[in-house]
Amino acid sequence: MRPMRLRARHRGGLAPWPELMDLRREFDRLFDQLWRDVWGTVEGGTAELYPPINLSQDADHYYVRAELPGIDPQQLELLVDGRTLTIAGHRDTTAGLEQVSWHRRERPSGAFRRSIALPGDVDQSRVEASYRNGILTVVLPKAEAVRGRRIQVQVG
Amino acid sequence: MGETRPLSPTGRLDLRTAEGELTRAENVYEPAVDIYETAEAITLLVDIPGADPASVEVDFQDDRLRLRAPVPVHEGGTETILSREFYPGVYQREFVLQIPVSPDRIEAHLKDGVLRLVLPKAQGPQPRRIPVRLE
Repeated sequence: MRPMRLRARHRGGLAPWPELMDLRREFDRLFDQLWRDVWGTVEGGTAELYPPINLSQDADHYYVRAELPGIDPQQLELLVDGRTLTIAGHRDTTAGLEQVSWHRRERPSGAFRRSIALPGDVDQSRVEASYRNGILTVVLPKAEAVRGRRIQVQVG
Repeated sequence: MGETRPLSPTGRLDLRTAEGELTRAENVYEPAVDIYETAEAITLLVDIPGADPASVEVDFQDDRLRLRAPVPVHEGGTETILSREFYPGVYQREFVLQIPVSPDRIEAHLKDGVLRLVLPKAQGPQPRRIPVRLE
């Protein structure tokens, strides 16, 4: 799927100064690069990071949740590298629908990749992920050293 | 409630329902939807990740299709939020259909946070173009 791009077009009339044309080209190029950096190659939706992610924790775990409706969890790529969790995959909202007539297309479609920085180290061997109702939940047990021990307050 | 309500990535923020003001403040989101048409039906595909399947409401009346899907809190009681981009609340959207459909044959399927609504087109007498005879 081609990424959605906005292009400044020169619509005839008096030609702007050559310097302006260069500036416009440069701006287009920078905008395209920014679009790719932010959005990857996902088409549609708004110019925000995809998927949306919530990060939370309790005493023993970090929890990463992502809104990812309509994907095949087996095709999802989940990587834990040090303190970085990467979620990558693709979503094809038009599979099997080549012969239909579209009235409206708002849902994001295409490849996505997003990396999340975790606040502390995790035990990579015990990370678990589940997918339910379109929400991906990744549970990352904190590494022993990060957990913190409760310190008993001695009285007296 | 005094909390800030940023835009949900899946839609616009709208504090009003079709009926008017909400009596209780809650986050309302318009879900993203794809709509396509075939010879037989109009189909809507709606992204409602995190919605509770048992609470999804689909109503059709007077050519209006209404959808409402509450989204509960996902975090467990012991969790502390570190950063947040999506929120509990309710997905809500309404469509006015311009093509006659058969309400009793409407189907709704929910899978992996995607609601698929199939609206079969109305059968029966279709408007006919009346040829004009020139005299």
